[in-house]
Amino acid sequence: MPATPFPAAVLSAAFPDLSGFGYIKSGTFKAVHRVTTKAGHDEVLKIIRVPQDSGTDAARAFRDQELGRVKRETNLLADLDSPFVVKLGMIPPSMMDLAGETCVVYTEELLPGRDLEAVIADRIQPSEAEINLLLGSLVQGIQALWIRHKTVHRDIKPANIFATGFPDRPYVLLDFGIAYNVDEPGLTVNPSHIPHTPLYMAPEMLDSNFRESLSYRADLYAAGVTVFEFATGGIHPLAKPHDSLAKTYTRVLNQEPTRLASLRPDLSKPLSSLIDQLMKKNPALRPGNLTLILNQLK
Amino acid sequence: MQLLAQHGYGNGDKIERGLEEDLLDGVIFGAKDISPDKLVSTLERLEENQPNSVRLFDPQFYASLIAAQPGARLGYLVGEGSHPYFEARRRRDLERDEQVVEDIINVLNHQLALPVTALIAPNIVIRRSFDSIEGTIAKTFLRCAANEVEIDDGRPLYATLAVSATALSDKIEMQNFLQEITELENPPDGFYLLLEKPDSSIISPLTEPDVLSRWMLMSHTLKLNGFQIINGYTDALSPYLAAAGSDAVATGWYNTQKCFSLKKFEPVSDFARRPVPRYMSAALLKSIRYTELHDLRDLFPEVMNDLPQDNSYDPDEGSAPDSPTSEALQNWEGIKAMSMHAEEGDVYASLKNCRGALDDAEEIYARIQEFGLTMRDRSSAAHINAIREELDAFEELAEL
Repeated sequence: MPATPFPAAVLSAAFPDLSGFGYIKSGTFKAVHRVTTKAGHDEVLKIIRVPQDSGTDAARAFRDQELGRVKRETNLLADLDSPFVVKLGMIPPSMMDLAGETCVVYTEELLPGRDLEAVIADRIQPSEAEINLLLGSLVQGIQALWIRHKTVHRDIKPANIFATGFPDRPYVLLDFGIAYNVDEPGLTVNPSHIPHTPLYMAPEMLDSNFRESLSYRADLYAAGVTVFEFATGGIHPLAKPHDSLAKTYTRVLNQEPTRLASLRPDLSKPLSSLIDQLMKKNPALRPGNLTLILNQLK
Repeated sequence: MQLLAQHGYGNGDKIERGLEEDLLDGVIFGAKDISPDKLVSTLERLEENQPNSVRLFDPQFYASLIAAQPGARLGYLVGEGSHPYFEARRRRDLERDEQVVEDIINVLNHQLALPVTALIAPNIVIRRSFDSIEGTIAKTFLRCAANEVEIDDGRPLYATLAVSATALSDKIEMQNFLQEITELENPPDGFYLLLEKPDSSIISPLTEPDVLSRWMLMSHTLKLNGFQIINGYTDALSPYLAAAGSDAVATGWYNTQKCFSLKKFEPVSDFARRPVPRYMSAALLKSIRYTELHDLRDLFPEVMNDLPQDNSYDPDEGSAPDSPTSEALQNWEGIKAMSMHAEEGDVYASLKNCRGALDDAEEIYARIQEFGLTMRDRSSAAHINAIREELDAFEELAEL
């Protein structure tokens, strides 16, 4: 259930240097508002409600998990220097009390354009050049995350990609809330719970031992699925409408994805083959040399 | 795809003739069977006479774990006038990264001074499983191969990846291993892939389940991850490895150069008989005894390759090859013909060609059998269904 947005009056009082507070969307714990800084910059204000510590061990552990995720996300964004990843805004992360609730708040840049989910909903089949641009942007974002930070985004999907229209950063990755650093201890309280979006998750994520071998190739898989959907105007390579969750998982694990060339025969064979290859079940079969991929897309 | 000579004992003039007659694209010299001085002079001669040839040196460092065994057959790897980088090693020595790095440096610095066209980094054979101490040591060799020595003359570096058929049996561990080595931070330019057949049988692994398919998968996976691939000791399996994307295959003249095994370094447990000369029939996808060739050639001329080296198997001489060199040249010629037919540019088309060739071979064998001619086990059609199954298994593993 989405979090209830805070009233504008509460937000105005809490953030006297900001104005606007136009509501954008909510998640379970997160509310997102459009704001304008005193300097006149438009940014996105993120307000994350911290779960209450009711005194039990479970409640405390859950609160620590959520706080840890926010801290990890914001530290990562502060350190990442890639045009293909969203940047933090003027207000750094801090804890504050809003109407009696403890929250973590910070701002990110406001990107022009719209998210890729909305673009795909237009049901227009993009050109090969546009597909190259999307895939190239995603691969560069994945590369930035992995090379310096050994981090896997784990939630690449159309809703977490913004189409900006900027020539030097046409697509930008958002929402690093479940990003996972393979060199650091996991934050998830229940180890059998794997944060994910089923339609885009790599098959190896369904293995309870996935943390042993998880790498950027899981992100490449999700990028492949996303680009496939974009290229076909909204057709998922595996899932059918109205599939149950169990059916989706079965398809992710066992079913061969639709070949892109069967739906877009106009695309060049190298590009179709590359996108198909990114969706292989076996991670080793997804091309691991990101520089080679980027060279191919040039 | 290139065909290289897998050098070994008793070269004579085989390699030079093979290069002169365009049957070979190059050679992989084996350290055990050539002295350092002879290696240098031979490489220099090839560089002068065959400047476009591929010239490689297999340091055979994988024998270091056998070197301490009494009676180990190490040739020019040890003793006076031996290759200077080679020393006996125990497994516990190689569990230390420092020792692995030292050995890599010694092997590569030795090769830097040779007129080879690429360098081959050392490694051990993963004999038991990928998920073993051997597997960890092998990964250390791979991880460090490209880090330790600067090759500033543009020559590529191939890392040795030697795996036994036994280790291939664990599919999950193999896939995990491949994932890891295709995510190396500083990878080599390519891999020199060797499949070890641990037992001493002279029969090559044509009929064992899950061996060829997994060897093909390793080649295919590494290739699509951007690596150059040389498969050593491939012999009659060359077309299938070519189909899986191998850039070069290699085979020699004795059985020990057609099928890789550490047995050739181990103390002698039995004495091998001199093998009966054979003829590599591209149509049958297999080599047959010269006596079988003699029986078949008039009734079934299609078993002949109709290539120049056929002239060395004179029917008036019982179809025996006129020299060991001719036999070696004919073997390369037959393998080259088979491999060129198989390779088609992409893996799907190549597999289709391989299947077509198997169907054609099966038909010939059926007609031979109808005629009432029996062939010995090693020449029989047993490989055809076995390879078909392996091609199916490879397709499934590669998610084609």
